[in-house]
Amino acid sequence: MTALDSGTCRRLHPLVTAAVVIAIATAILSRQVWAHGGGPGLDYDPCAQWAGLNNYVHFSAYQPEFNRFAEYCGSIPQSGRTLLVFDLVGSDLTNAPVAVEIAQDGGTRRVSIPARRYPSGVIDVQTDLASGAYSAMLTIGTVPVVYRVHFDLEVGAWWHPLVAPLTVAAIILIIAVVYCLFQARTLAAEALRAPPLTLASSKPD
Amino acid sequence: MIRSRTTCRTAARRALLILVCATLLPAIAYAHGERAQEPSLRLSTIQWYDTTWSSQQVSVNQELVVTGRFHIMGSWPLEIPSPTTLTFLNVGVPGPVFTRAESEVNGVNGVSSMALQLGGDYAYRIVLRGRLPGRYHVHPMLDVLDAGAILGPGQWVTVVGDPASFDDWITTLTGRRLNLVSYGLRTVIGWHLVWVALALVWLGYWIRKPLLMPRYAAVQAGEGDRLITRGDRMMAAVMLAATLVTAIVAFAVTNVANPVTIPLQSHQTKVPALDEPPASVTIEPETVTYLVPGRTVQFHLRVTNHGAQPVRLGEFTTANLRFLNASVSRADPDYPPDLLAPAGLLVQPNRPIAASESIEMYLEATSPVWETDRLTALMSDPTSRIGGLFMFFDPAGKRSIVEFSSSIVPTFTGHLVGEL
Repeated sequence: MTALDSGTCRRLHPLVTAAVVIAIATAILSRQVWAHGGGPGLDYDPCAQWAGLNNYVHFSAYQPEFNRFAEYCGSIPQSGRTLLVFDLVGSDLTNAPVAVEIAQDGGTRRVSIPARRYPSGVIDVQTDLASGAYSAMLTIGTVPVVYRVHFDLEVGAWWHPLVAPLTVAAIILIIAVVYCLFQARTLAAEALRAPPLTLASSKPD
Repeated sequence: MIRSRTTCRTAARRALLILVCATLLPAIAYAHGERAQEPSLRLSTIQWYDTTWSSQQVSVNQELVVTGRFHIMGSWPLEIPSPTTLTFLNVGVPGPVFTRAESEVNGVNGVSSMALQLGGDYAYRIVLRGRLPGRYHVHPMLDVLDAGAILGPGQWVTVVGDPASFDDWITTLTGRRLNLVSYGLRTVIGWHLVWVALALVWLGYWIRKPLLMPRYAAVQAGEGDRLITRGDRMMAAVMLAATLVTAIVAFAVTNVANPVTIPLQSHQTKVPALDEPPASVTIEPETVTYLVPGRTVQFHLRVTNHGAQPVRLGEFTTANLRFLNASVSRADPDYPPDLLAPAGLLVQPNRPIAASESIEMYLEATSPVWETDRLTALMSDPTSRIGGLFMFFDPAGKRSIVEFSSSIVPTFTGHLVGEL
């Protein structure tokens, strides 16, 4: 059996490192699935929050003037006219009074709807939102059973969809650069060890 | 050089360990995944109705009977393989928590796959027995060849009792009484252990030698032919012989112990649709829109009553979601409340349609479930259509079911008659 020489191992080492990075990325990135791939549960849905044992509130935002086909959750790309829709799922919620409040960070109240019942389970709020961070709060029910459901919003966050693809692209670039540096260093070391070339034709006649 | 080799091996081992961990620690999966199916698969293929569950709690070994009907849409989407070739009536539960005792479709035994007719209605019955204690969502389900599983409505059912008391006795054609829970278990485990032992010997032989990276390096160095020694070839011959002998012995012993066997059966049953009288009502869609912020499907329809009796619209059902006209229909109190739209069905004019009368009707079907079940993700679906069943009732309570299918357009502006 031929032993593994140090040159071979050095050439393989970046490949092993890349495999480790990919394995870690796979292990971490495969933890969370954001699709609606389940039955009655909602632990998979980042746009929904429990309100009691069997009820939940689903939140979505729309900016039809900007993109008619997009539905947003925590990050809204532009300031301006925004439709905020809260879906109340569960009979406990459609039978209870619900108050809605949307406030900008710093305490400025932008929307305040007093408590009332929504028999259809749909709360539709239209408002103008400037860029910034907001919090939407729903107070559901009356004492002694009151649920408070809270959603964070960031308006003007057009760059949010770029974060994930740019992160992946950056990781790929870093791996490529590290690999090239290894190769260049190995090549330089081998050039230093190699005997100098002699030109046969340089001998004078 | 030795240090470099050690580093390389350590890195390779770490990579292998992480890969194994990533494989062995999968994320938790929640429920059945029907919300991940395209809206057209749920809105325009099979409409389930009259579904009942005999109980919401059964003991281990106790029967749970699921009954109901389903309608195969005549306007089945072209891009989805239809159930006219092979379909199997199944039940959607999370794993083998029940055992199926029997099933039938229109009185035909449902043990085999069947061919169903587009536009037909079918009555089914599934008998399950509780096996593992827990709380499960139980759906009737049709497995359609190349289209996948299409789920019916789900009800939460609790199984209580001692799982060790579960049994599943059958009588074979030769008259033997067998409990399928334990029958043949020791034999299965025993033969698995024999094969595992053989595999471990083979693995152990190679693992004690230098593994992947040194061998790869040897191949790269042009020394690949020297990797397999004479001893390796002898070991391979012994393993091959042991494997073949074990297989032959296993086959012979099993044949002697079980002389009477029959091959796995394959069969396709053709099940005729229910012989229902044609609907006395026809519906022509004029416009159908989905008001996104209101979670409301708005129907403008022309409805004609061809029958001899006046009829009223009582229900619209699609994708297991029921919209009831409260002045005409009421749901069974045990029906799962999450499948009933809380606002019901708004009907204008909400009056009987006289015999031979043709009127324009406006309907509103409002429910947050349109959104939360992703039934209106129309822009990402190749078929932006909505399908369903409208149910009309005459004064005697006789029901007339009308299949409906129409294109649908999402909108952000519109006026609702009903209160949100």
